[in-house]
Amino acid sequence: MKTKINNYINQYSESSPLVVFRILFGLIMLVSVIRFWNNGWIETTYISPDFHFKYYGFEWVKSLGSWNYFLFLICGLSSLFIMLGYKYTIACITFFISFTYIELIDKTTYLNHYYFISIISFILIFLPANCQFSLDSFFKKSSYTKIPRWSIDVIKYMLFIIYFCAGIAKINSDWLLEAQPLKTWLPGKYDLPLIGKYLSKNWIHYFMSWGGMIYDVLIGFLLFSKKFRNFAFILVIIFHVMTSIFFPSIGMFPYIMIIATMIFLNYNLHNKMIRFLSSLFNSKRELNIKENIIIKYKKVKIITLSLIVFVQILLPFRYLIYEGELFWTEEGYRFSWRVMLMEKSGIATFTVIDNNSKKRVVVSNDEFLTSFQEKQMSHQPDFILEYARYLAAHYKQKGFSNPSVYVDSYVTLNGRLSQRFVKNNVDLLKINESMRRKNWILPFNDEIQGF
Amino acid sequence: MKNILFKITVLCLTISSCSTSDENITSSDNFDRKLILENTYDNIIVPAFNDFENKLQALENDATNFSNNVSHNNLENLRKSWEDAYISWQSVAMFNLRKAEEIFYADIMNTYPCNESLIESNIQDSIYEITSFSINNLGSTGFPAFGYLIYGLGGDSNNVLSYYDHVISNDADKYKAYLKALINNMTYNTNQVINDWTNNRDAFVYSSGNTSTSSLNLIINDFLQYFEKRVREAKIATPSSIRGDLVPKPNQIESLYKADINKTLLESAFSSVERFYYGYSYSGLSNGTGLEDYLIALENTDDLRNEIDNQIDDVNQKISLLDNNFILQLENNPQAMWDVFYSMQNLVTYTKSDMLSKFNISSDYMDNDGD
Repeated sequence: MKTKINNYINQYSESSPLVVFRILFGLIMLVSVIRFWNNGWIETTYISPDFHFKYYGFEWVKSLGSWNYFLFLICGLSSLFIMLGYKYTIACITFFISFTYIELIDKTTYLNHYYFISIISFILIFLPANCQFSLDSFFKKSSYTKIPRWSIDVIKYMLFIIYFCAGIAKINSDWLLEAQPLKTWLPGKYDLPLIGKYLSKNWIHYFMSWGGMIYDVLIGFLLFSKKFRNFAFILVIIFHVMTSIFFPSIGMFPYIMIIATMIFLNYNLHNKMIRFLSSLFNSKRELNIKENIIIKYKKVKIITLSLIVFVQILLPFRYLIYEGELFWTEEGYRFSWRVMLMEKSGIATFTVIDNNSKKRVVVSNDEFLTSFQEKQMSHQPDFILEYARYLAAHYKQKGFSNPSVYVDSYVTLNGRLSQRFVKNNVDLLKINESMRRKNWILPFNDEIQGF
Repeated sequence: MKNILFKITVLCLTISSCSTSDENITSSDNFDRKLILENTYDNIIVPAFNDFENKLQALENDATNFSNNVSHNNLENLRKSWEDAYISWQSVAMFNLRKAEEIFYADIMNTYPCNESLIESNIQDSIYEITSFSINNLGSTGFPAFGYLIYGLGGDSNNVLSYYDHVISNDADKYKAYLKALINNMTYNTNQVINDWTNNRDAFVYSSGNTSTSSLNLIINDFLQYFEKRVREAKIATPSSIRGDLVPKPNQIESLYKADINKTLLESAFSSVERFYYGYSYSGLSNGTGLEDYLIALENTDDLRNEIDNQIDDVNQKISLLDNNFILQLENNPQAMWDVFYSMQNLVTYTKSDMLSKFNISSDYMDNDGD
């Protein structure tokens, strides 16, 4: 066993797949930042709201006001530096910190692929992705064609985990037996040319549901097999382009996955790409081309990366600790690659009562939240709790000396009729946010079988 | 291999790049969403605006008669046609999109409570040219301002008449002129909106796609917005102060100076909500395609439609318990107003959350990966 591990650790492979990954990752991050900026979302999501929903344990992360633009600028510049491979390690660290900070400002905008980007950029800090065709190697006048195999594999493992978890998450009765939520979503795309009119057909909903599940479960295996990886990559392109047609609101995600999975392809392709790109720059500089790169702090890096992968394997299954229906309570839902799995929405009506003066107020949510925040808050218990505390603080200033906050909330899940969501007679201020089970959520009236 | 890959990518990208057009789409096998737009346009919007236009014309005539001959009789006629027009307004107020949204039509016509001191200073300064909306004339136009001039000047109708009587008042001409200015302003803006509807039937009806700018999405969002903001909030929540200290604010009611028509105005407004949902014609004689029919065409919506029916009944029942006069209602029993609020709030749950979820209406929020 030990020799096996040692052998694996000492194996080297072509560096070009990781180098190409670095370039494309930097490029698409730069595009994403520009797109976000250009859509005016920095203003609407991070500056104009009075209130931000925080991740548990990260309440200290504050919006920087108009300095958020600076933060995005840093983030965009560091992705440019990653792409160019200039001051690579510092660029990765800067990117990771600035990007993750932005995400931590408000969990309303949580997306699985933002989380994916944070993880990948963290991993990249430890990888020698600047070993060739980078400004770093250009200035050092040395480049390496071989890097340790694990430094490419770790990204492959991550991609495998993502697809596989997304796949088994789809093995549930709503997805497979009811074809929900696709049955709700696809008919709404009736206005697509050519295919639009078929999207209300029942068999399409089942075909897409089952196809999506099988794709997600198997694609990781296919990508790892030398025989099927080209075929698998074609599937990746078809699948993700289709999702971006049907669900334009998932934004950059399909494109990020397409460029990321290229790392599985034969290194000859990556070599060719690098050669092509090199030919664009007519450099006369003589580089000292070496074979195997020597990794500094190798042990620390390997242990760190192994830990990340290990945690990533466990995290998606933490929901098993909680009783209650995962889709309903969402305890253990985030950070587990559950993408496009449910159609959920709710209406939450908050009442603040002053126990001393007996004053009462029914809260108008749009006074405090953006419509996007309100939408996300209405069906996620941790949001409801945090918002209740914010309301209490606000009304304390308005003279409610001893407030209680109650919510009457209704949530609809995958086409089921709305059902009361949390206990409406519980003072939300008496509950502390924690990782513990939230027993103030009412039980789900139905059952969803499966993972 | 690469060739195939390339072709597939090009094909997919072509499809995705065409996907933004939203013209003239019918879904042949399931439900033709265009029918909702056609029915709404032909059987609700057009006849409702026709009726409103006539009522406004009558109001203008009576205002002219009144100015020419200030008498009890003419004041009563004017008041009656103001009331008729105000009730009719409730049926067109919902369609606050296209031109109407662009020119702030609903704000011009019905911002309440009106700003008495602004109106008085406008009268004194002889400011009669009010055409378009600006934040500076907010509260000095439309039905509430008109109501102030014919009911709100204090005292009985003799006192109101005295403001327009040359023998008694030096400012009589100014008051008459402001009355004229108000009706001109209402007519001018209404004509703009009517012209826009008349000339753009096809643009409206054939835009049945599912994008954030298609007619269907706009009108469904407009419908929900109207019910939440202009009915539940403005007519019930604000005067009953359920968002504040629960101390009723009778000065926030819609028709402050003629308080006993508020229930009628509310009923008329809620009818227009029902009308659009069910697809009833404005005349009430036929039942065309509405949101209910869209729900029927979708699977598994029996429970939801039942709940919506029951909740609409419940709202109507709660409204029926109210006094015609909201000042009295708020003084004697604000709880009945709060009951209407909660009942409406339940209807918001079934429409804004359940129904919108079923329709899967595109929103222009930001990226999202399915909750």
